[in-house]
Amino acid sequence: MIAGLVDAILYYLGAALLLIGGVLDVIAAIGMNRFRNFYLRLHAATVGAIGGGFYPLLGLGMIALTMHGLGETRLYIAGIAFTTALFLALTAPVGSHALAQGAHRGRVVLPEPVVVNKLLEDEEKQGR
Amino acid sequence: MAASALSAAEGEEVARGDAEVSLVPPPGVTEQVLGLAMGLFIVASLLYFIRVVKGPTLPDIVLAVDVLSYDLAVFIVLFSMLCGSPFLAVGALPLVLWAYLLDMYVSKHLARRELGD
Amino acid sequence: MYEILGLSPCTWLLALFMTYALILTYKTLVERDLVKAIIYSAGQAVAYTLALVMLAAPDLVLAYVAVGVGMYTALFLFVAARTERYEHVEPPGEEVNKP
Repeated sequence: MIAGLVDAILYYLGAALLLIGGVLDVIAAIGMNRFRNFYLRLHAATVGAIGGGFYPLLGLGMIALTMHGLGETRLYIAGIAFTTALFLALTAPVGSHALAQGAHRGRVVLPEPVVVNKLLEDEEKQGR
Repeated sequence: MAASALSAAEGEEVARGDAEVSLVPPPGVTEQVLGLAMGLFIVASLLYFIRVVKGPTLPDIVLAVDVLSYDLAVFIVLFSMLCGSPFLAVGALPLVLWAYLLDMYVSKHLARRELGD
Repeated sequence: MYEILGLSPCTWLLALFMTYALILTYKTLVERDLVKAIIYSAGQAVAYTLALVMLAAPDLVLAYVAVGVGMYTALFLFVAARTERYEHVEPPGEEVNKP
């Protein structure tokens, strides 16, 4: 009784996370093509990494836990999905922040719709 | 007599268990849901690939390759679930981690014009 | 299993990812900026990874991701930091300055 209920909850939650993640990924891809600046595209990349990578992996793990037709191998797939989701949530924001910092410090691209840029003033004051 | 009653009770248990397991849709519906999600991720990878090809500056290309690799890691796990084989899914975790290292290499290279320390 | 134009969906996906790899290889060849060419090559490695998954070769996937996305990019960025970033090509007919 309880096992069937837990399976149903896991399945529908996982399917909802998977489909929402797919839609968010398409939205992030459209935004990646329509924003006009690198620092604006970082917003779309955040949606694509967390909404389009973390949520679907969680949902895939939950769906894989309920696929009893696969036998024990469903646990392997669920473990891989959860581990990948954990490491993606740990590493993707760090990576995009490091990329933004490198792009600003290397003067490759500067933020375009900006009123005042204190970081640039500080870096020029320090003589970098 | 008692044994037959026990087996009948067990049969009822099994039947009720089957009726409750059917809260989850049959595998055909799951396959269709996974196929729909796979189509969404393919469309997203196509749009990310357009940004990879025409990205004007270097950080744009790196960011697009990064998000493309996250997208395709999800796609690998999805494909391995559709095939029912867990051995196809082992490529997802290295793809995510090496894409992160690609970010760090390029940011180091952009920040101080050389790799290392 | 349903089919699209007589081929299975796995074959179409393999063709899609190999098309990604082909376009990125062309961009790597014609690019004048060395660092951009290295990043295009990393994208080509990602596309090849997915092609190898479609071919059901996960052991090759592990090796190809590590070498193509990680080691190759690190080594070539290390080399590119010590040389000129842009590739200079003299137009034909111009005199080449010789020391």
